[in-house]
Amino acid sequence: MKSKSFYSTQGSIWKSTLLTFPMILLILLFVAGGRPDLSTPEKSIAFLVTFVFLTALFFLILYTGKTDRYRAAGFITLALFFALTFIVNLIRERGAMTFNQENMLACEIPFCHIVTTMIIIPALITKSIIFPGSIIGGFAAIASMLVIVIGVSLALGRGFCSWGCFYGGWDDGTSRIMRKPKIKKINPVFRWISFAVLLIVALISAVALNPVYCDWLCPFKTVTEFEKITSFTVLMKTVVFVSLFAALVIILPVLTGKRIQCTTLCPMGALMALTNKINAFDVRINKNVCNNCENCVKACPTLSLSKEDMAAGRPSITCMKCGKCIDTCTKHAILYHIKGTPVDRNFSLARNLFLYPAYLLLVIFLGGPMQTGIILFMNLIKTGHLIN
Amino acid sequence: MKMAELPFMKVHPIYSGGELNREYKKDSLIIRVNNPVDATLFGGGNQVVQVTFSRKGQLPGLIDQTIDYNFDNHPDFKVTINTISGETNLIPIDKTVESLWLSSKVKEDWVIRVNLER
Repeated sequence: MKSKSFYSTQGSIWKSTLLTFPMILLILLFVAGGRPDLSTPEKSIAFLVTFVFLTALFFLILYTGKTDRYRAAGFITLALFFALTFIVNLIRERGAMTFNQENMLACEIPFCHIVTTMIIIPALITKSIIFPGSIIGGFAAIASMLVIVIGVSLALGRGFCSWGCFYGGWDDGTSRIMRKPKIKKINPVFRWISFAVLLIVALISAVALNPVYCDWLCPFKTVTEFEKITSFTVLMKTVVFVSLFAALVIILPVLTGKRIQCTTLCPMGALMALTNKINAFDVRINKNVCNNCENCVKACPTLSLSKEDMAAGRPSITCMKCGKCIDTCTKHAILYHIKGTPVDRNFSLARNLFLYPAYLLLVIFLGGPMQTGIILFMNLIKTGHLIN
Repeated sequence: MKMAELPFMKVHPIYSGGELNREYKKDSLIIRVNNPVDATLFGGGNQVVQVTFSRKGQLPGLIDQTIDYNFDNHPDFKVTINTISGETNLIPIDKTVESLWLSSKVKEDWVIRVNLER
């Protein structure tokens, strides 16, 4: 048996710097299009802060060998800046966070990745998309979001839910508020609820030709956009999604330390979990090193690890590849892994090969909103107004 | 973007409003009546028809029109729209007309969608 330090992925300062260099080029390419806009002091500061933040996080992931700690910092920042810039954009374009019948009739509703779960069956049968958005052009067009979803599914599987989803950072953040959760024992069977949600919303949406999850359930409408209250039905919808946001995104994650909304309600998470099967990367437990302390079971934010999963040497299909179990394991028995390769060899290579596309996804989603958000905050300090 | 050219990459007519059937002028209004679209997954059930009212310049304060959506020379419904308040009143004439689904200003036009029963 090899010593535990053998399995550590902590890097030397030189190796970490060298491995960060390709990511610096990718950050420059995706955050600034290869040529940073330094035309105003605000834009220069926004770019520099974003660039340094993203570079530093990646370097720290490599240098410390800790994945989740620094991933979460970027991921939670993504959720906050995305919500801020999305809302500001809506207020500038429409004058409000709400949309109305005119926006729906004009097919101007932004398309988010979660809608994908509800359009599949009608797309196969009617050869069309049941959503009042635009196919191409405009903000969050359907075609561009579908390209992202398909590409990320192939590259990362459900890794999307911990590295790219601009909603996931909300309950990732709230689940970290209490150091010791109040509710400690949660039956791992709850991790299958999102699959039931996926099945139900996919079928009802197809029959009703209406994306019912978006219409009634999506808690993240609270921090993005929602229908203007013009009737009792719309009022009921509002009560439902705001209640779900309060319960599943704030209260239960705080009490349990788990990402409850992502684990139990999100149909996209369930669909992405299925793509874990066709993805090259997974997380594995090296049973030769594991001492069955079960710290990983307690740490997993999505109930993807149970005693049975430990015995099988891998988390369940619901794993989001966040790296929290890997960071928690004092024996370095849990590793990022490339399917078809031995678990106890090339683990640093497997981790690095996973980290580049995963972190790049975070860079792509966070780069724009973070720069815009910093400019908004500077405007707020200068003028006292967030929106000019 | 190549993906946008794929056959299924179009918005379902229940959201886009369907294809234009006929456009005509009446009482200084340009009235566009679209083909009825299926409101169910496999068709055969209820339908929805979209009618758009527009005018060169500003819309009148009151639109009061009788519509023959299937062009069988028999009026199907009467619609009254207060374009200031948005208040819309639909009176079915033909038995296939069920109720008003949506009524809203869209850019410079006014659009209504009407539920039909087969």
